[in-house]
Amino acid sequence: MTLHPLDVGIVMAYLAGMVAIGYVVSGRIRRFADFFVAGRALTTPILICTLVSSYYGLDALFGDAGDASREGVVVWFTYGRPYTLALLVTALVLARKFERTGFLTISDVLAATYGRATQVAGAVASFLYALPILAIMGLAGLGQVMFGLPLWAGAVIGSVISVAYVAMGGFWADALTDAAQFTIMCLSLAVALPLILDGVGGFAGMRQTLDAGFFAPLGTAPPLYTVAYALTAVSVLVEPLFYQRIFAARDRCAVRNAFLWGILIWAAYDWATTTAGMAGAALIERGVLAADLPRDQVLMRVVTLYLPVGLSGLFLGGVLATAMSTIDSYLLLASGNLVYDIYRPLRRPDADDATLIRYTRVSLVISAAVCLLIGLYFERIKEAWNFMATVLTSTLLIPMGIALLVPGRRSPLGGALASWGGLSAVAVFFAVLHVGGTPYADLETRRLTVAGVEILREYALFFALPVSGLGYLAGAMLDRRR
Amino acid sequence: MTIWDVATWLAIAVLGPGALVVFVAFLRDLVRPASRKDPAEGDGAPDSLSGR
Repeated sequence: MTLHPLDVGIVMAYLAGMVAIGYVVSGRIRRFADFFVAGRALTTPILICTLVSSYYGLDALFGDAGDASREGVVVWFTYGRPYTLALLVTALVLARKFERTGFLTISDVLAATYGRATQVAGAVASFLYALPILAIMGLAGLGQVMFGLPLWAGAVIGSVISVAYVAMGGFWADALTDAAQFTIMCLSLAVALPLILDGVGGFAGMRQTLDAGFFAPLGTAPPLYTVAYALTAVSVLVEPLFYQRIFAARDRCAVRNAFLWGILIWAAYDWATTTAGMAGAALIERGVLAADLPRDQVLMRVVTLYLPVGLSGLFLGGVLATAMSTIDSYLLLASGNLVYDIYRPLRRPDADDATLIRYTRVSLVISAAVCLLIGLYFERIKEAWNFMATVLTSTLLIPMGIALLVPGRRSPLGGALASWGGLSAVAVFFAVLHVGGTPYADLETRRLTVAGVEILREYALFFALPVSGLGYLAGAMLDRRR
Repeated sequence: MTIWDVATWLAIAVLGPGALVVFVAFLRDLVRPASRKDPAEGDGAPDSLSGR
């Protein structure tokens, strides 16, 4: 793909603008709370921007469109709306519990409730989950498509720029750049969608081409698989990115309203990617696109088919913004986990703010380097992400749920056993499935048959959450006996 | 035009004009002076959730 020099100039100006924002806001950084939660001063509009743009990365853009090109509207209705429900719980129930608490990370909550062992387990799970490996590799692919760069070069340049502005301006730089990135990523889809819809003859045209199953809200996959997929939405309740933004909000109304507006925008974004993916499926059926086209490339091919020069440049800018807004936010989170949640309590409890900021800046470089190493040397990144998201939920859901929703005294040993138990159960589940399982091509997963029962990779939570729950109960009983 | 097309145009309205409205509100807040004090300022120690 050849870009017009004007398009290249716009991309360069955009990247330079991000770094300039980092430099300008670096003067605002005095304390670690300024660096990590923007001095707790964020209002509703900037919270909407940073919530939406950070949480939705390339997996939401290309991954969801790819899934819709295979399965249809089930992606929006059955896979997507449980997330809406979990987001509503976060907005209306969880967010209000943290007003004026002084927490900085999700591990702070665990430390205050259960103690250091649970705090470190939460930080390890959060760090693994937060590493933006997929986004960095997506950015590398974009550099290859846009500028003909080798994969490693695109990944390194994208990481260096993201690290540069976040290291200078911390969460302020992250949030301010997110505002620009949010606008670009939403507008690019809003501009592309009418042209795509017109190109395939609207939904009437798609109905003539696609199988009726594409229009079935509950889909045609096995029910247990669908339930397991929908269950991944509980990860929202322990999403470290959301907690950081809740702690960064000016007040609870600001964050509640931001979530409610965000839910509307996320739903619209999901529908846009679902529609574009289904348009891609119709084009594959009509022979316009290749039948063997990898599903995560469907959206890009549809866009290049219907968008004129200039608008396709805008769309690529939107893709770049989608990737970078995720990379900067999650790199900052991962670095905070390493320094504030693991290094500080274990080695330097008395570390001052200047030390924490300096070490977090160094940790940003380390986290980016870890992402690059993993991303460039392991091909099956999608499996790794599935593992990381499951690790987060299995480790944190039970302890956080009890901390936030169950009144009375909480068991420190219960918290430790629940978090480490959930973490270990996921590791064992994935190891067994990796060694003993076989690929399941239809659903792009792995499966293991035990005594006639088929176990898919997506069922990990069915095993890990009970282990975590039992861990809490056992710990609570032992604590009571003491 | 089907119900699916209507949903798509609603999504376009949210992602286009809707996102612009949010961005303008963000710019308005940006030029407004900040007036809130950080609750953790001074001690820096996180609170406990117990008793809630």
